[in-house]
Amino acid sequence: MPETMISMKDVTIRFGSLTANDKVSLEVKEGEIMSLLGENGAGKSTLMKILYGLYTRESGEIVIDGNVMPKRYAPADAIKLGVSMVPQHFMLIDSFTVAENIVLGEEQQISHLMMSKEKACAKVDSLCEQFGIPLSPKQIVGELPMGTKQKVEILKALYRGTKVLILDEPTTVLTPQEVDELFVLLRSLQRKGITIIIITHKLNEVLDISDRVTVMRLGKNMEVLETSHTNAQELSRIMVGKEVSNVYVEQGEDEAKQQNAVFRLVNLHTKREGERCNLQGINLDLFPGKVVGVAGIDGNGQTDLVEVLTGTKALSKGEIRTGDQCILANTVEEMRTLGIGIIPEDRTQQGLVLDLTVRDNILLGYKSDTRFEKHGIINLQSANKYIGDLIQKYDIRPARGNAVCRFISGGNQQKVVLARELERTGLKAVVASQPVRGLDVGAIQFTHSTLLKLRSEGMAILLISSDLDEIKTMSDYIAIIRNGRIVAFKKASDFSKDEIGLYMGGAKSEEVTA
Amino acid sequence: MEISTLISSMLRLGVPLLLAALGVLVSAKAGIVNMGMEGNMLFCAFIGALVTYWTDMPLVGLLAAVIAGLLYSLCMGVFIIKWRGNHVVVGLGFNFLMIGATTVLLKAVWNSSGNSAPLVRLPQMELPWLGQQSITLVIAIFAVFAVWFLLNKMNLGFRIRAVGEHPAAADSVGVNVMMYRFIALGIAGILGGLAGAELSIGQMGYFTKQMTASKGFLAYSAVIFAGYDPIYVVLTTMLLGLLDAFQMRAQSMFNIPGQLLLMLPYLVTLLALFGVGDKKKPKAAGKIYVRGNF
Repeated sequence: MPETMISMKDVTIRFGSLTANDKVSLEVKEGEIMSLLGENGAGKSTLMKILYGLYTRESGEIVIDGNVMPKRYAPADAIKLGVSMVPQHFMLIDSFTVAENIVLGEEQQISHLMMSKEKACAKVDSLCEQFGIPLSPKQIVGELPMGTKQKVEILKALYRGTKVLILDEPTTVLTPQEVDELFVLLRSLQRKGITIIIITHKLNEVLDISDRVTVMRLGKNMEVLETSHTNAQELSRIMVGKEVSNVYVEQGEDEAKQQNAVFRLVNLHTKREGERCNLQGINLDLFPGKVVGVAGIDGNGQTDLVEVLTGTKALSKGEIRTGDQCILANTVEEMRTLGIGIIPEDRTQQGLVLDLTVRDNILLGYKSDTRFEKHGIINLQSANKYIGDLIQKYDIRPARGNAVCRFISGGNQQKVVLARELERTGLKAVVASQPVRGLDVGAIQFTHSTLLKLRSEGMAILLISSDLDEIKTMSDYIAIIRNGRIVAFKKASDFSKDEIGLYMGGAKSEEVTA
Repeated sequence: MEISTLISSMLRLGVPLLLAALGVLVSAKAGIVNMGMEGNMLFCAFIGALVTYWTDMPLVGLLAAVIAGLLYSLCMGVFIIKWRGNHVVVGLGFNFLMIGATTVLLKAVWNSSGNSAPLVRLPQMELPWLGQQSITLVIAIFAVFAVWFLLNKMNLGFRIRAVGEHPAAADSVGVNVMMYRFIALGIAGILGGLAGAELSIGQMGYFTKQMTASKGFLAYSAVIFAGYDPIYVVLTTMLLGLLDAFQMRAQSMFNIPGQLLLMLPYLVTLLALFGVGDKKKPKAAGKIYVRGNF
């Protein structure tokens, strides 16, 4: 019977009103590979950051390798006990060599002051041999592919004598081949007695690599399972929770397909920039009076999709069709004149100029509207009247046009964005990305009912959200995005939540050409 | 003989630039945009002159200038590193402060708005071919190798570079970002102190109002031009020294307005930077590091 390496019992942490971890327990035995499975925001990373000493828990017990941890401890303490974390975004210095990156902080020395590059290289070579990691110590890290950089990170931990290796979403930046290599490496580390914890939301990976899996949902422990005794369906069900029925939308007959789509997105591609997922052939139709919900795990191309429709990211391939127009090169100006209103994901960064007033924020984008502008001069009188009406209609509080947006609540900020984007003349479609993220219940209700009212008025709505409940309750059709493609598109009522989870996690896929 | 005098004045004009540039280089490697080097030199030129005036011992003046440089840069460090001020704004602010302070003190000590009283100069050497040079030349040559050794061979330099490239990564393996930035800035202050003292008590034998004449900024450009390499810094600073020497000779030889020739080193710097760019800049240069989650 292997010893317990990590034991976390009833760990609770709160950020403001959000309970990120609610009496979560985790037990990891020496030399096992444990998966920590859950959706975005389920609290997996938070739990691991507590274990690593980055966050301080409110209550609960933590025992690492037989040492009872005090309430407050730093990552240095965790490292000393042999816990190390490979972060999702690597902490490597691109201009340094592999060996330099590995020894930084604990250099190989000739004397007290002088470091020895030769000794460092020799040490790295011997570690590589010991753990079967092929790395050349003198290579510059910036020139390495992501998979190799990850190995450098792992070796960095091994150099410091790690016993427990925590990997935060280790496969998101890897190619499928690199994933295979990583799993081979992890298994060989396991044979050498290293305990491994993998944070992930991908079902296949859990089944592939781990001995046991702890499933989390909404900050709580759901279940601990032996991987050999479970399957993707069961895990998906535990991960996403129970069915939520469609409460807002009455199901109409399937007439939309016959209707003319207002916008047709055909084979959209974008260039890959950095680690962000690009579009790799999106096909999607937007119908008047229908909500199309795009479900998917964050970082599967949603951001690029919104940016393409905003006009801030150029298409590398594909086209956007509307009426008899066909757009290949999209600019912001063009997308706006087409009548697409955008509710961006991050209202404080992309939605508003926080230090401007409510009035100025609403007037943004109306610069060529003759109602408010003539020969470059703003007609303050008509602008003020217009904005007064909007403030009333959208119930923006405080009800003053000269309130600075930075100092009003998140819900009211979102109302300012809604007022600007939805009241434009010639609006044909609305793209709402995570429209209720971080809002309170009242503002959520307001935003949803505003969108549904537009729907009933015949507007086409594209709702992008990582919240499955929101997608299920709001949408007529659901499209599932994964790796920059739509992997499934059906009527919302034809999807079970299990099924959505399976598509999102990549356990199931079908190529869709809408 | 003509060449020999040109080289001699190139060295005299280049050495303060070289010392200042090495200082800028070390701090830049730690991620600090050291715009305060100008004020650093000016302050230390003044302190060197003042202490020499009091003691009649220029070596004591030199030591005082070095200490002044260290204190000056650590003060700047409090603003930049500890209070996370904008590097450029803080640096320029310190420069203006020093212009004002030295002008006022010049008036207070020597009752002059132009020059201090004549002072005893640092020991001078009479060298074949290279003419008369102060001992700072030897210090500068030593400093070049010391800085090279620091950055390439020593733990301290390795960590200074790590902190300048990716402070979060350095922090995550237990390297104290703040401490190493302070150390690097302190080294820059000492080198700037030597450079300033060389100007007043090394070469002229008196302090002149605003005698640094933007040499601190020239030093920065020399570092960029040299691609942040201490050995190349020798070449770029000497090139600037040569241009300066040339324009002085040319003023007496040709009938060209002196003001136009004075532009020469600055003009060349501008063109060089335009061509070279700042590609080798440490990644975190000028960026404020706030410890956060990773």
